[in-house]
Amino acid sequence: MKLDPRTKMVMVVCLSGLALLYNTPGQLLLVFAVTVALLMIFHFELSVIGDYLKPFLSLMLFLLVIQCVFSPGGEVLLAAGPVPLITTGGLSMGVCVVLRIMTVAAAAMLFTTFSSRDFILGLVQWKVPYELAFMVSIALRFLPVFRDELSNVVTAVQLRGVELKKVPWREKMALYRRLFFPVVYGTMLKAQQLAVSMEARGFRVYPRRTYLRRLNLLGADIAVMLVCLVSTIMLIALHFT
Amino acid sequence: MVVAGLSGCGKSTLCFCLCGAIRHNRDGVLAGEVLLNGKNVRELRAAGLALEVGMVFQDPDTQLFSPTVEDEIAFAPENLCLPPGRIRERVEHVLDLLGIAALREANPYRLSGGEKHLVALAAVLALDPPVLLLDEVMSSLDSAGRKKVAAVLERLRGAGKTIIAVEHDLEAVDFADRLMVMEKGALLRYGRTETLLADRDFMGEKLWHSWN
Repeated sequence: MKLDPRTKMVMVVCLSGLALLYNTPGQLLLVFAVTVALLMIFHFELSVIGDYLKPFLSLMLFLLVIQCVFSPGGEVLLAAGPVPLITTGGLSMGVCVVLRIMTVAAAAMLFTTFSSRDFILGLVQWKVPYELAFMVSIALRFLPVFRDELSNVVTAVQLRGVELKKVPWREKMALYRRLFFPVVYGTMLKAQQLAVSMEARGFRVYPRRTYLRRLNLLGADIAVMLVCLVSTIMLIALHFT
Repeated sequence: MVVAGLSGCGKSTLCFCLCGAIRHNRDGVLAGEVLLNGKNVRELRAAGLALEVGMVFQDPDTQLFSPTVEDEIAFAPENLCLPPGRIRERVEHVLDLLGIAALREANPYRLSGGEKHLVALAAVLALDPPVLLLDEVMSSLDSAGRKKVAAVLERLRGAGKTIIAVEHDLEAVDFADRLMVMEKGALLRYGRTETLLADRDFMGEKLWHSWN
């Protein structure tokens, strides 16, 4: 389905908003199911969605355990003597947190269906200051640069004969701490050079700027946006009544 | 004109002074004056300098930030508030000039080193500045790329542009009519390229022995 980036942004905001609002596993499961169904309409296969969520797995497991242990309430399912370890309330909270993260992360996949340029254009046409929209886009642009920088430094360390896999955990942390500063410094240098380059190409030479392309909201976009916004407002109203 | 010299002799720093980066956005003390078409760079705003001088930096990764090559080239004319039709004209002109129309939809971040330099050059050419600074652009290109860029620079020079290229490799300087040789942050020699290259004593003693 070909939709304007702004329509997709509205969808992401609605889904994420509901995921943050709801606090029962049933409701959150429903929002997650709707999110996955929407992604499939946008031609994302289930395996792709699974691969995308995989990096969040350890965080989700960690939060599940934390919630199970530290959110008491309900029946005790597992106890160590007199100390309850897992309760139905804690388990329910843990599942809610996991579903919430999965929904927000999955909804964010919609951002990958359009370019950062369209993201900026969409926001600017909604009167968001260009500098602000551009800043967000540049931050996203720098994520792979930061990752590459880190990967280069790690490779350089390994080429000097340090087998990171065999280094004990404590020493590995110390090593990463030492690597952190060159990576951050290198990225800051790149950011500074990027700023020079942008100004050298007339960034903010005039108070306003023009654009090569323009996004147009079609009837389908307006209809989808209305459906999303109206149903979200209704669900929020129902939640509070 | 080509500015040549050993690594660390101050070629890039000179470029940063000429484009106003030193003083405006980079650390450094600027002594003396830099005049661009009679205008003092100290008195011009950093972004305003873009109308006077365009610079292609040594590392293309720090100057490419758009999702496609076309967007990258359109960035400068958009900043100049040109109407969309004029922006399109400039983008198409520059894409054709450098023969990179096929890369129009490509992500600049995923291009080869040589292609990235061509896109960075295209992005600056779209600004149409009267003075063009190129920091070691030729030395990062293959021979076909060099020939292509040399031909473009020749055309731009014919159109009245001032081109100052910093080059480490003396083989890349034959398109320039003036050569400036730097050493340890100072001017060593300045003159017509063919005169300096023909000066066997100078080239032999000062350059070839130390550079090769």
